[in-house]
Amino acid sequence: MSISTVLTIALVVAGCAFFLAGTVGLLRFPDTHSRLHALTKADNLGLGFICAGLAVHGGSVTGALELAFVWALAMMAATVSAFLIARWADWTSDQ
Amino acid sequence: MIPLSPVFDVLLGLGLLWLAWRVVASRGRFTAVVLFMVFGLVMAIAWARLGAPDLALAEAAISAGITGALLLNACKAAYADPGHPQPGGPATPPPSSARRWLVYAICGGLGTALAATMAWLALGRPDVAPELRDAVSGHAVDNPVTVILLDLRGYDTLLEMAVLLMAFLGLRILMGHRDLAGLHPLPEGVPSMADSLVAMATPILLITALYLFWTGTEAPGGAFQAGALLGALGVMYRLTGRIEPLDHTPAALRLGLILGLGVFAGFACLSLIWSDWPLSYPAMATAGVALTIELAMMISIAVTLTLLFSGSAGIRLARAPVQGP
Repeated sequence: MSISTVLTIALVVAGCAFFLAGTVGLLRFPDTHSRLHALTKADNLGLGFICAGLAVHGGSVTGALELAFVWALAMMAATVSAFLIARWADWTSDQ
Repeated sequence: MIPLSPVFDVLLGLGLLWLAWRVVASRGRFTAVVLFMVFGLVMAIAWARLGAPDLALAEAAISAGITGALLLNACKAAYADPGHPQPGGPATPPPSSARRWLVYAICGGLGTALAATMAWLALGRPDVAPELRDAVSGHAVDNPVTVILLDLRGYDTLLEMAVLLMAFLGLRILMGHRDLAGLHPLPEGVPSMADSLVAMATPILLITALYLFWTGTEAPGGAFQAGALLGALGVMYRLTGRIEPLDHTPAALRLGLILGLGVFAGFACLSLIWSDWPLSYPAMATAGVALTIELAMMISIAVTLTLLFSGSAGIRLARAPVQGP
């Protein structure tokens, strides 16, 4: 096994671990804010690790740039939707 | 070692069935709509697995994206309407068990018959007819899906545009006297982060939509996907107040609504000049004509979807646009 294969496996497994932890947190944490905390970890780090692993696996610069772009877009959307959900949770608990 | 892709496909198929069941069986409207959007996304993955990227794109953009937004809109309008039964209020009595079983039997029977027919067709599927293959491979437009949609089955696509316009007219009649500004009130106080996301997403969505439109002649993409993306941009503009509702429909918007159907139908009439059949392409300018029709359809789809979300009448760009980051 070449170094890049080992690196790919390590990165993707790390990403999957974050997704798993994030999902467990989403299902088991008690309130909206802590659930969002768990969810954003899966979105940011999990997707980041998996994209990094796939970039290493693909081995091309353009592919890596595209994956980085995917990750950046997903993070932008996740940040804003987490903010909106958190604000909505605050707003409804104030009522 | 077990090959993993069949396992993944089986999980995908079972997941789709389960999601479809949950969409129908879940009690709350909101839950059902969110599950429907998830169903659309998983369906898009299934299309991608089946090697149909055109359908995957269309499913993700139209079914999961814009239809979801329209359904959420309908939920919101229903909750805001005081005459509408609220959840938790006096519910309609559940149907009697005999009646429920009758419905189960009918739906189950129809579903089984449909599935059996599909399986039978798939098993005995003949190869693509040689005439069809020649027609597609010798065409001036390279993407086979676009060839089918615009040329070989052009009549279907023409009627789809008519259906879209009919849907819009239906909404216009139903929503005639609504307070449009109250349908999507802007959140007060804190400027929402959504606004800066929209500012950043605008160029990306525009480029992606135009790319999908332009590449539709040779690669997955086309007017429907591009129009849905532009419609999504319109939805975000409406939600963040960059587009405001009007109580009348300006002439430019009316033109936009009928442009796709008009250009397509006009072309159908014109083509009688150089051919005996409507909707047959001139041999010299097939690609150019196809691109023109796609452009008109993209504009119409985008305008129609935005107006559908906005609740019809009209829209205009806000006079004092919200400041970006």
